[in-house]
Amino acid sequence: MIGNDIVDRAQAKRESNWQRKGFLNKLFTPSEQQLIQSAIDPECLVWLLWSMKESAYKATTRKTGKRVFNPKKISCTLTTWSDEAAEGFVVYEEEYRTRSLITPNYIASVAFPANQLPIPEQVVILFERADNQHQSTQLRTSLLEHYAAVSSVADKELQVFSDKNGLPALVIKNSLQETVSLPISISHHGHYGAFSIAHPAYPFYH
Amino acid sequence: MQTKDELITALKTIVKPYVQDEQAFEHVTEATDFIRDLKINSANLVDIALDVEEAYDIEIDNESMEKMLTVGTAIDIIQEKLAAK
Repeated sequence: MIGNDIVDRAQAKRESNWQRKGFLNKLFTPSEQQLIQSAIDPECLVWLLWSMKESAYKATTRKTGKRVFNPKKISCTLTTWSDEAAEGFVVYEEEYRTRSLITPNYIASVAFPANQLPIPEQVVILFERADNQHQSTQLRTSLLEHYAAVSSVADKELQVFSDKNGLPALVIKNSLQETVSLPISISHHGHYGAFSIAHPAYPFYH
Repeated sequence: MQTKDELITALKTIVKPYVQDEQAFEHVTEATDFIRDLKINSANLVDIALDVEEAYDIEIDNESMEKMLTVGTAIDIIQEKLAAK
């Protein structure tokens, strides 16, 4: 399963005061808190770890359908971390690998099964407008254009579809009128949106 | 102790700064979901828990916070913690 999350850093600054008493202790495990406290830019680490947790939460919830708010049960380990990117592991009922992009404007993470290859790509877009409906349409359009470009499947054969549980999937119809459905994960925050498409375990011949 | 209606009113005051869907906020019931209906950012759920702790001088442990996804469950938890005081 796959999950992705994006944090608009300016929006996060407006919405949350991470220095508030009790905030870190309710969201992060002791070892994560230690990482944050010892970082040169603790705020960056707060949102990096948070986006890792959210992406793993979405991946697990996609499978179990079980919604809870217990961020301390989701534990993150960083394996590499620079000013521009991070990689790590997140455990939430199962173990995921995560990849994160860090820019001055946003932090985005994607979680996927530790043994999954190829590593799913995460695409970030800047929204043109502030209204929700427009953002949602822009994200879906970008996703279709992106997949059409990388797969050489024609746009008209592709559709973003939500199943009965509200989980989005990319539905591809091939020349034999067979359909394949790829799990996708969509997220938005502030001015930014992001999506990830789970690659099929086998090559999909068009 | 406050009645359920009073608790809902008090909780609405706590939740208001984090609400992103004002229209849904006008029609809050016990079934209202903080994230799905009020479009509250998930990171702000922790602020709601902290605000509730301060307002009622109670402690919301992780097992309780885990269930605080709707107005109704939040009210249940507040009542349960107040009763145990």
